[in-house]
Amino acid sequence: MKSYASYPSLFDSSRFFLSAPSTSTSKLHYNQPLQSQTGYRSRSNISAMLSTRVLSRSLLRSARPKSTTFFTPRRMLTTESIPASSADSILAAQRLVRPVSPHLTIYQPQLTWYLSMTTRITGVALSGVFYLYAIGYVLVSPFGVDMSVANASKKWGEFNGAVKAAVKAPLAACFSFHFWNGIRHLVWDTGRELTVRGVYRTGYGVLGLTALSTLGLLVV
Amino acid sequence: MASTLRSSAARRILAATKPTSAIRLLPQTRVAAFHASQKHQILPPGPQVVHGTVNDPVPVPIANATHGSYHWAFERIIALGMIPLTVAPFAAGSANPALDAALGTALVLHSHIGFDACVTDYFPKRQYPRTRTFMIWLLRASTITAAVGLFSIQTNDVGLTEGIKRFWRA
Repeated sequence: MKSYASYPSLFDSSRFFLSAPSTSTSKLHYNQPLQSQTGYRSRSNISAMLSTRVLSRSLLRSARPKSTTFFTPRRMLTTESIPASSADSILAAQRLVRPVSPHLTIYQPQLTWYLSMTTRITGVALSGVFYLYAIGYVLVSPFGVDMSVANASKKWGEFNGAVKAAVKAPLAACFSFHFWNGIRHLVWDTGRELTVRGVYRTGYGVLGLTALSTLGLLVV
Repeated sequence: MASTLRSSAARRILAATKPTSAIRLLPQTRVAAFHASQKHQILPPGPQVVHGTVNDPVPVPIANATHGSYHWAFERIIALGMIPLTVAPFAAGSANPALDAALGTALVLHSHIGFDACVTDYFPKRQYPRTRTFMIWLLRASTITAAVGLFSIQTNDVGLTEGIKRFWRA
């Protein structure tokens, strides 16, 4: 047993008593450090649990005040006074040690969200290349670097054919995909093809068109 | 759950007999790691920010078209306009300067909106207010610089479409 869901909600409820509208509130903590109390159950076997239960029951029985004259029950707790204003920082610190909810890696790869994600990635890649060149054109040219299209394309043309293909093929694929899937999104924006069937049909259509136009761009 | 109902005395005895876990205890705030589940994180948790209490109502802004509706329509008009502007040079073999200027302008705006959406998504105001502001201004500066560069390419150089063509066929 590795995880149980009641812990986060249980301890996050400290929020409620910590943010009570009083000037000062008290924080409860046991004499033993709290961290040593966590996870003990995962390490204990059934016999240990049974013996624990018996032990705790007997301890509770012995702790019950039978006669207050000679036995005073001792509380195993200490309290510490903290200002109410520190409640948020304690909560924030507590949340930092919570496990991050799993995402991306736990979802089944599906055409729907993979194509959606790829649209953004390809768009950022294409615009990134465009921005880099255009910004370089402004910022680097004053330092004597010739960024003109004539010069830069001549330098680029001197590269090995394999290198050029290795750069051009992904760029062609990015452009093709972003173009076709952009049209798909615009079709959705008119309310059409907004069904599971429509999403998959247009999705496979986009993939097919992307493959074709990528090849087309590489031979022009 | 049974373990939460057990007496504190039993817990203390158990805690004394079991080895303490190696989970890090924050030094200042005495916050314990209560979570036994395995971590599957891609990125570490961002700064945890607490505003108000859990009982506060969700702030609902007054509905206004300038809060997104116009932006959405503007985005689509640009994207729609870019389809013929992109196809035309392929069909014609070259672009006339007016079409090239229109494509360049649309491209800068489209890129800016796209990058801006990324900043909005990945730098939430609640968690990263400063980084977000920085990224927004960095993007604005980049867009303006890129627009100046593009203007320069279109006026002093061969133009956007012709430029791409030369690189592609180099």
